[in-house]
Amino acid sequence: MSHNTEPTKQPITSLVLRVGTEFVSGIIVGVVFGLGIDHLFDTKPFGLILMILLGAAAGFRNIFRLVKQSSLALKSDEQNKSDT
Amino acid sequence: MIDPLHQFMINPLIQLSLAGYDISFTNSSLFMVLATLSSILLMIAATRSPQLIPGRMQFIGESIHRFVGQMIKENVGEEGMPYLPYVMSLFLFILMGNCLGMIPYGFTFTSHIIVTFSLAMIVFVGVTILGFIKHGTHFLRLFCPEGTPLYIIPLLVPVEIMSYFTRPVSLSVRLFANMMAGHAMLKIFAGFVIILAGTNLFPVAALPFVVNLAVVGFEFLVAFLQAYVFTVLTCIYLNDAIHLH
Repeated sequence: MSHNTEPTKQPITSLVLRVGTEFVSGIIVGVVFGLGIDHLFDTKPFGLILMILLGAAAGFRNIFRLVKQSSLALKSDEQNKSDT
Repeated sequence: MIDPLHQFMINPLIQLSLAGYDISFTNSSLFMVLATLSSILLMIAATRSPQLIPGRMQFIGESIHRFVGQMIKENVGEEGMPYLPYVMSLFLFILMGNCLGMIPYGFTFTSHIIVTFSLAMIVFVGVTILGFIKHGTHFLRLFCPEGTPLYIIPLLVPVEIMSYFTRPVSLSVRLFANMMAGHAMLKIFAGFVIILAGTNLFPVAALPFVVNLAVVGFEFLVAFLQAYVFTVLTCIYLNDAIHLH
């Protein structure tokens, strides 16, 4: 996700605080978009169902990305320790 | 009497209305003005008499500047430095808002989702416009990373688009939820102290009091950490818009 190959150093607490809201926000966006689509195109309730599923998928994608990033950061930390 | 959510009430201080809309100057607006003024005053005090060997105020100002600058360099690189003023004002505004809320009888404007959502929308809209200015329609490549197998594109692109729209929501919900939950928790434990002190078990009231002391310290940590997380994420989004993988 980030441009430079060197992963950014962030305190682990800030990562922990991020994970929960990433998933919840995916579902919130799904619900809002789903209700909007249903309202505009009169497709009740299929827009809502589809968009919640997509939103949950996006939430999982966010968490996956975050965990991948933080595991990279942890690995490079261990390497730095073993180097010195 | 003991209502833990009473502290989040918005009270109009000066009644105003414009074209049928209520634009009263509320306690929330008052604390936003205070947060802006205190960050400006801090920076004025820091740069009033610049010296080679910094004094106390100058050292604080330079530390904040270096801290935010370092954050941008790590996450965006040198190309991100033109956005330092924006990122730093955002950081100072949220930090001051969180800290002013820690003063007794203060009001935490970051505990209202509409405030944090507006801040997040400014970042979101700004970053999107910046991406389109820098890369044109090529910016849409963000939704379809290179080397994606063809058969997965119909599924991946909608998910990536949704994931892009979760940014302002997760930014705002995180800040709002942390501030609101922390302050409600403070009030609940304080309520325990008062309720227990009124019974004949009053020595037990010391327990929630000790917990409350610890929670106050924890709240200061959260106040700083949430301002930090908000600005770091702003930097990461800036990086996406400038470098585009």
